[in-house]
Amino acid sequence: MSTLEQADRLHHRDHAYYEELVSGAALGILTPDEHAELMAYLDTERGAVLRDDLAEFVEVAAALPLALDPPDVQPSAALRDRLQATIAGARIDGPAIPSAAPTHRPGLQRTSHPAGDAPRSIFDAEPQEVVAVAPVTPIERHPRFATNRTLTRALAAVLLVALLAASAFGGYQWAERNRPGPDDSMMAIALDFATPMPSDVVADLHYDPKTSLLMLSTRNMPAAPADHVYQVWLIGEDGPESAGMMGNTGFATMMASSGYKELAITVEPGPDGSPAPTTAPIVVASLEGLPS
Amino acid sequence: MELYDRYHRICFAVSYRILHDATMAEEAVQDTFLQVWNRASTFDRDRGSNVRGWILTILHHRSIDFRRRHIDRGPGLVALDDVDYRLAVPDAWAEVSATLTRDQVRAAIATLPPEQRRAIELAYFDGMTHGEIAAQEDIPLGTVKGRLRLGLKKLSTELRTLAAPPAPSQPQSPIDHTGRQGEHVGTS
Repeated sequence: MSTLEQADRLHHRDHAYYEELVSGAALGILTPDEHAELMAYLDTERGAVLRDDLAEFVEVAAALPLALDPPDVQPSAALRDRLQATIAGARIDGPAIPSAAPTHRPGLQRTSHPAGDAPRSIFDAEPQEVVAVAPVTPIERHPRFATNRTLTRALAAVLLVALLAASAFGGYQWAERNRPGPDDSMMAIALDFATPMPSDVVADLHYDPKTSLLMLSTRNMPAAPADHVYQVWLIGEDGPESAGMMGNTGFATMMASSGYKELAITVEPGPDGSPAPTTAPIVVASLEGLPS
Repeated sequence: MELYDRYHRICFAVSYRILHDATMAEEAVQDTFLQVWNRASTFDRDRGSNVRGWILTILHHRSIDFRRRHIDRGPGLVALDDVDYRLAVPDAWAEVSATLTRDQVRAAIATLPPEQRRAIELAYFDGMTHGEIAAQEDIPLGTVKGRLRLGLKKLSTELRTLAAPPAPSQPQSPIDHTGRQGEHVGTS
């Protein structure tokens, strides 16, 4: 029995289920799980019959835009220039995609502008007033306080170095004394890596029931691919909730409830991650049975 | 830039309809044509795929992705990537898809029952998932899926019928042995 057939039986999926997903795929509305399931099924002997349906529906969906009326807003002439410059290798700064979502639904503010003008984004900041600063009048030093500048600078440099060294050493000692380490109350949780990690990778997951703190510490973890981040998820009854991005040496979070079943880490587009996992986990850990 | 000059208006119209913001729509259009530029080598015209449909598919996904991530703050959806799109286009569509007109598409859409048309509109232009459509319309999930499938199937049939070349008509008058129409050549 193939892996997919085992999965089918496990999830009680029949051909009709996948047939119903085909139209959603053509319209681009499948969730990541649905998409993965359908693509896997299309590769099977049974599922191959749906490939023609999918291709047909993709063509139909691509025709839908033809029914639209031209909008009352036209693209700016600058768009072509930006595109041409980007393709040619130069980069012209254009309006950036806003990183924060607006607080209103689309459609409440429709921009309208004469053709040829650059459209004003609803996220454009209001222009700031520039406040003139009066020039500083130099203070004339009284001859009594004149100093040997060279000696002063040398002494200052030595003092600065000494202070930095002392600070680093003291900081190290403080960090060592205050490093949260395993004690009798801390619970170690096993991590399950999807693929073997290099032998020098160290990863420890601990949970402190006294503080409800979940801590993952790592060393020598391979960096996430360019423009991507490691995103941590806590998975409960309602599905995955983002717990944030993992740093170079680990991650920590307060677990607000004991209802989470699993922790998972995925690779997501950076720097802000994704609202929901878009890739398979690289690491998972069971959180079931942890005390609240 | 020929592709841009030819298709940027329809791309902007679609993106603007989805995003309701001209700046975001321009960004989606720009991203789309950059992607088209980068993926040009992966497009296989010989397999019957049409360029306009390919570009609009990419543009649609970019726009829905922008909308869900930056406006609706919902989970991202997955569109068919290039590999998936290079499914062999059915023979019946090879001639149809590249030549469809607005009137033909509108006429086909007009044949749909209102509920099927609504479901397709919510899915395609608002990027709503099956579950979201079911919740909004207060109908079962299976009903949503059924309406989408039946709607797309009906549109496919209608579009192929509307876009099919007209059957050759009977000649209006006999053609004489010289090949000239309109003259009756008697054999008396």
